[in-house]
Amino acid sequence: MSSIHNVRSRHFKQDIRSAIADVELRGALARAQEQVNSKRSKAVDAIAGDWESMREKARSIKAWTLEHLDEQLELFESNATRNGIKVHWAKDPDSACSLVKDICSQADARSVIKSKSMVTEEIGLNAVLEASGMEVVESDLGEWIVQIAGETPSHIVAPAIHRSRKSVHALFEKTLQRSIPDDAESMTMVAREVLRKAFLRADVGITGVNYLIAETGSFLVLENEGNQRLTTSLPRVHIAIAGLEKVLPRLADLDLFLRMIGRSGTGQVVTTYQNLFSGPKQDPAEDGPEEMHMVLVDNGRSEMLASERRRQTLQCIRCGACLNICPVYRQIGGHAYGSVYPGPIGSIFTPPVAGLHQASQLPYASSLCGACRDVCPVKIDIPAVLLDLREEIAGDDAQKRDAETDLKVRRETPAFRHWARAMHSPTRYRIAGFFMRCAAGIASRTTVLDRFIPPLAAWRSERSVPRPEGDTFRNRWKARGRQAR
Amino acid sequence: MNDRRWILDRVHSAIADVDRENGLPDLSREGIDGGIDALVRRFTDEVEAVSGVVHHVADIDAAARELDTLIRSNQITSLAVSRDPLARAISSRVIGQHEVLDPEDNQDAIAEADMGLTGARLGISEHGTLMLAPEDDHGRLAALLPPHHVAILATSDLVGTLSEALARLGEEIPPTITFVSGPSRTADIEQTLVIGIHGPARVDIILVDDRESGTT
Ligand code: SF4
Repeated sequence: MSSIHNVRSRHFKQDIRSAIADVELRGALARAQEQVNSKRSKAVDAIAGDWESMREKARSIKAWTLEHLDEQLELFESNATRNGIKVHWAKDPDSACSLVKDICSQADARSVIKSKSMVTEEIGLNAVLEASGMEVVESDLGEWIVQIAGETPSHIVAPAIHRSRKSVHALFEKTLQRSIPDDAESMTMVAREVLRKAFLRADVGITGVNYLIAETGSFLVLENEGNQRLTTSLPRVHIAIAGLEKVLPRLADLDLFLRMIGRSGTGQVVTTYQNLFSGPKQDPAEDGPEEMHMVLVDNGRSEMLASERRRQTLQCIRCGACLNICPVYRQIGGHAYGSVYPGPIGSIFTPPVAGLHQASQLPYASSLCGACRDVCPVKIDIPAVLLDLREEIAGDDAQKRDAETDLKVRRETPAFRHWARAMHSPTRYRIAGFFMRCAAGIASRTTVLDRFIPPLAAWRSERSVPRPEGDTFRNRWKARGRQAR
Repeated sequence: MNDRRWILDRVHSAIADVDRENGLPDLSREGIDGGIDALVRRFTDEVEAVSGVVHHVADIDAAARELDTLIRSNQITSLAVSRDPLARAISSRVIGQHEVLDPEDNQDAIAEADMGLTGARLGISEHGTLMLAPEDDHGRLAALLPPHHVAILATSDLVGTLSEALARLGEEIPPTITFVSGPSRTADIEQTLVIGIHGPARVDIILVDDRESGTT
């Protein structure tokens, strides 16, 4: 069964309340979003003439690959195998975690070092390895911060974006039991020193994957810190884990995607390091891993592929741009979504993978403003997928929603039905409009009514009712017509 | 094997009805015009834009002098040198107080070195990128563990874009290729940019002009 580790999106409504009340969090998010967005626009504007055509090419390559995914996966497998990479397949998190655990046990691993990988968060790998007695250390600075804090990442690119420097400082001093200067540079150097030791003692290195290259049986992983290079250089065994959708058909496709993902994600022209792996070391005297494994994870992806409307979700290159631009993410941060994939991409990826009833509130966590669609480098129409999910969630099968969403659906469905009826003829619309204006006029002046009509109270608790001012649009339009004559 | 069949069958039936006609877009694009001079200029600018430094020198002797200056001004006491012949040739001309470590020396010693010296397969001008292939003797650990990485690159190994670099690889792809654009960096603490976390904090590239002499 497909699932997402520790998903708690059913508590979305409670969790947004505490997130919104957290002033420090919202300050941190607003600052971070502004900074990243302005860097992104600068980087994109610098190639403005090309950007739209690059997006279209990237979209079409991804769409083509998904439409040929069976062939492309088999091609990757046979080429990778020829290169000496051991390719494994996992249909769900249980299968993936036990595969990785077995590889680690066979390597007699006591210590495992990891570089940032969202799919390992998705399948809950760390918990499984730790339960079988292995030490697991996250080596990306942001991931390490959330690991020692006992938290989960709140952003797919910047895991610790929700934390202020002060809170990281307090965390470091508490964890390491020593005093540390509180500037970002000194704190970073302390992390380097602590993590360097973890690298040197690790038996197995685990990474995610940005692109699988079918044509050559290679894979590419991006990073800025160098932790990923260390993860794949020092330990004897390298295990890479990838969602099925990560395939690109040709090596030459990298030229396009690498010019886009850095700009899109962090506003960098390119990331500092781009590591292309095509097999374990050949000469025993060399440094580098003796064994290289690739675990291909389905976990709900093949099902998503079958839906024509949702298939595009799998085009995602996990750049994070849609989180950075999203007005909802800006207010509530990543944790409130209750999934390792927060923000707009999370709201279309989490429900089908975790099960609609587990995350039925997420597709509603959007004003459908479309900023995510406009910013997405592979042109995923996120609002369209959100609407598709809403349609299924609000359908006849109540099993597809949680209690909270069910209440909402049951309250809203009759209202929308009436509204649809009212829209049917001008007379009905006029009459309905008259009553609505009267109701809004009263409701905006008083809260007394709320007490007698509970659905109104629920609605009012999150919104203020606009007070109708002056004459109606229809009357003014008519008057204008008369004047003109 | 079980999961493999399960997944491939499902993927196959998920897209069984899709019309698979449309082809892949052509990605060919213009390189950088203006010959070696333009490549050198662009490379230098781009490396600097990502906080690295390029030292463009006329020949191997000048490269050795540049390396000597880097070693002295940074008070380097131990230098890890990869097997790359050009890097070896240049480092052997520098007489100093520093200890020289070989790839055969153990990992912990290389980790303690102050500087790593390696060659590079190619330089990509468009983004100021070095292409390292450890199996070509570019020293996986020497380029990674010490806080200061110095790479030797010949001007004839500069190309315009990643496309051109990949095309030069041809069929033979080394097991690992690392593309490096500047020193290691992070902004994970409150978006503050810090240079130098896990990888080198400084990257100097000694770009040896081999147009006339053919010394390399
Ligand atoms: S959906 Fe688009 S913008 Fe969002 S992370 Fe994926 S690729 Fe980036």
